[in-house]
Amino acid sequence: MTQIQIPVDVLLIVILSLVLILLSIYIYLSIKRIINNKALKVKEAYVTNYLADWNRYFRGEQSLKNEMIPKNENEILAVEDIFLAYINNFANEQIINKIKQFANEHLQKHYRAMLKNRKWSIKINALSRISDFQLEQLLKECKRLKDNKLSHEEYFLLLLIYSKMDATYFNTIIQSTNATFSENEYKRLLLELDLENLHGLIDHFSQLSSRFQYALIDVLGTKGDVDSLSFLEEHLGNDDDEIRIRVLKAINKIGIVLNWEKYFEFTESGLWEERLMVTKLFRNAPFELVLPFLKKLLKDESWWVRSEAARIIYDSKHGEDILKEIISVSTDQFAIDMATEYLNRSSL
Amino acid sequence: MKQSYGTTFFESVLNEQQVVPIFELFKANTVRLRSPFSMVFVTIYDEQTIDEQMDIEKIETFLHSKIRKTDIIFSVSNELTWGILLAQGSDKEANAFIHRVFNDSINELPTYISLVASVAVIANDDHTFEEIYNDCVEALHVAKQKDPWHVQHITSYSDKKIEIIKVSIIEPNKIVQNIIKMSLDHFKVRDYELEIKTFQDGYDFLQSEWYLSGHRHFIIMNDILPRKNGFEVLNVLRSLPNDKRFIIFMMSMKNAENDTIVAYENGVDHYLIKPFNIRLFEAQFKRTMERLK
Repeated sequence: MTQIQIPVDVLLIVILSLVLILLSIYIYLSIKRIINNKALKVKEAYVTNYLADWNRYFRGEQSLKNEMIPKNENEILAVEDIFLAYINNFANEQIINKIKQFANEHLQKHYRAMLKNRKWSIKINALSRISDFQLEQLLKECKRLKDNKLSHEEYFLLLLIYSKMDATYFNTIIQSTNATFSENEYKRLLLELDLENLHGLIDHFSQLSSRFQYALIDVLGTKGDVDSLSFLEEHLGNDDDEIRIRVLKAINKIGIVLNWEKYFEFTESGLWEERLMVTKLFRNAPFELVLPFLKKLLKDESWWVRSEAARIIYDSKHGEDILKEIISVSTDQFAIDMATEYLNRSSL
Repeated sequence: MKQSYGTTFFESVLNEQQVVPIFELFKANTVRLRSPFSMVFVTIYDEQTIDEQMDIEKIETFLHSKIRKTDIIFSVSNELTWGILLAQGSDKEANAFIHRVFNDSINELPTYISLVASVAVIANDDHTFEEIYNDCVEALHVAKQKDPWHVQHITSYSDKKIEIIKVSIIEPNKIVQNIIKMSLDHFKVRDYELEIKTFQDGYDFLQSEWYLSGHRHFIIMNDILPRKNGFEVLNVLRSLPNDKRFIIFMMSMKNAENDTIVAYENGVDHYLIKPFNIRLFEAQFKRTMERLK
């Protein structure tokens, strides 16, 4: 076996270099920790000192004090935390407007500088806050940015900013862009639009991608948009299974059906999801009209469909009697089991 | 036969000694249930006008027909006076009772009989039967020196004791915790004092013994919490004996109808979808506190 011989002085240099490197890392990390702790303290001190003032300002009990205007980056971070806490938890129009006004007046310079920063994470933070606080002063700048080379996240945030601050512009861009988003991202974008702008998109429905179409239908349902009922009903016959299911779900959320007969055929659908959605929809129908269908759905091969049908029958005025009757006359074990399960629930 | 509000627990008129233990029971319940009871004394305005034996029986039967099953009539010694303990006896209820007795007596008692009354609403356990009894007798003498059908009110027993109500805010975001706390800090509801504590998560809350006392307890919590979430806390609280002392507000980002229904079915009293208007929350909280009275 050969032995490698290293001279002692070389070994010492290596060890010393390693110690030096470790020491430098240690010093660097220590300094960074001290700086971070100091920054955190400044941030916490701001929140402790001024949260009550912000609360009174938002409630209209006092005007904005000069001391509340943040003086450094850490104080800006504290203001961001306070604003986000209000926006996500306690927002109303008055609070949103006050945040918007303050951000446009006192924070735009800060975010403008951040937008110009080369670091991706800093730009993303700037775009998020511009969107959260609706910094209209930076909208022009944000519109210019769309022609730059952007990451998916940056482009999404830009579109979110447009949808919040200039819906018409957003509609033009979203229809012409080659970028695609996840269904959830589309929903986030569309939820910011008012009904008028959503209807603008309905006119170009067939040109939208599938994910966009699904998101649009879901958002119409979430917003309870009664005016979109005729559009939704038109798509009950769509070739895409998912669209039909989404449409039924959206109509169920809106809760209004003008002609029930259009929906009865879905009880025969080969897709259990469609049968489930139409069963859910039947909760809004005149009970006597849909009872024969509910009795049939109680025998469905899908547990979800049977359970939903049983629940609607059970919740009706004479539900328990109907379920008892089903148990005594039905020959279908699925229906008997489900009816029994619901009757047992009532005795708990 | 006269219209009756039901047969009383004690068919006959009790004497003073017999009524003392019942008075003590009413007093204990008043503190426990925070619901006042009343002692009403009724007497004949002009004793000269009556035919003692016959009229006394008529008046006793009449009074019996006016009280609820839970009320008690007792005689006041050496006087043509009757005491009535009204189990549900807030100011309003005691006045309504006296009003009913006076109104009906015009049709149901001989016309030469007119009555006067004194009433004490009792909302704390600081006073003895004897003290209140003596005050009622004295007030009745004052009433007799005024006009027929006069009612003399005694207000010195109607002050409720300040009740401590616990409030727990279970929310991970400290700023949100503080905003809710600030909202509740300037709450003033008569007879109550709020004791507020904040918790970062469900585990911290359940590890504390803070929720185990018998105080009425408002819980304001997020549905999503680190460690033990809001629904786990809800299940623990609702499985405790006397869980009705907890009034639970759940805050959530989930706005689907079904999420709301599930929360209510699991025992939430108020479901707040974020973001919500803090003033609306305050109004709900205040109204709920007022309903505790």
